[in-house]
Amino acid sequence: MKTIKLILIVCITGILQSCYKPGDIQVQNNITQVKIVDVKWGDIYIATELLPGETSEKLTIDRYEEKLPSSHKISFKMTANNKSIYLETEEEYLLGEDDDLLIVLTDDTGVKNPNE
Amino acid sequence: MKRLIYFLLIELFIVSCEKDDSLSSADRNVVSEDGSITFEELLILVNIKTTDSTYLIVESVDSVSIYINNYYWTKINSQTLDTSKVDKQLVDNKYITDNKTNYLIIANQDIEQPDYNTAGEFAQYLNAAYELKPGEYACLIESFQVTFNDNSIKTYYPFEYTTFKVEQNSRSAFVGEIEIKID
Repeated sequence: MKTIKLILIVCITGILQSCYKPGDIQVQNNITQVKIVDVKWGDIYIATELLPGETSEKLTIDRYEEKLPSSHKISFKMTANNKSIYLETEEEYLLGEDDDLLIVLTDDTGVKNPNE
Repeated sequence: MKRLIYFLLIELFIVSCEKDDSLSSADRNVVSEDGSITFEELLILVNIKTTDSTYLIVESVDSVSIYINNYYWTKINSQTLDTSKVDKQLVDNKYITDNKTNYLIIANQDIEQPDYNTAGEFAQYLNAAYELKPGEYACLIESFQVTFNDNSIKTYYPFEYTTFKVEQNSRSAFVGEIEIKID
């Protein structure tokens, strides 16, 4: 009887586990003539540094990192000419289970410094 | 008396909490990466010599258009001069003097201020600053305006070049004294 119970618990856990599908996220820097560093989606680190035209590696968000679906802003430090500014996107980007999300930051992406 | 002290304290608190609105979002939040002193301004002395070897006396030399290595730097007025204290004579519509009179121009780089709503606008701001690294540069006075005694305004195009040196880690450079000849 005990063995059956144990098998049932393992099975239910297995089913629950297999129901959760992680999401993939990438960020591409298409902003003219600047590199962006410390790129984050919410509190999750996406890339250390992205040069113009560069795309970050695909990052898989599992349920231990973030419960999906979830929506966050992208934050980064923009640097050029030996000067830097911290910026956050105006828009929040939604990542759902089993999603493959590519966020492209361009010259037209709405951003602001939280200090404003 | 107590009320006055409270009032002054509250006033002081409010004033100290206000943001400096004269600065743009970029000016307020941009930091220099390497902590070095950023170059800010050029100091130029200008005197205006007439054909009979006298010097023009005006309150200020206006709209002085300055280029560094043929890159537009700024268009600015000189510091004002208290002409009442200058020994001068009125000839036609202008004041002149035999003594050389310099006008001081403090020229900060004129960077166009966008609205700062998009990543491209911030990128443009960061890239706009023309860094004057240590070395020799050519300064061009392309044009300027003077207002004469009868309030008439004349624009001159001297196209006067002078060279100057920018030292390592300095916030300003003295371009020198530029003599501009006018009719």
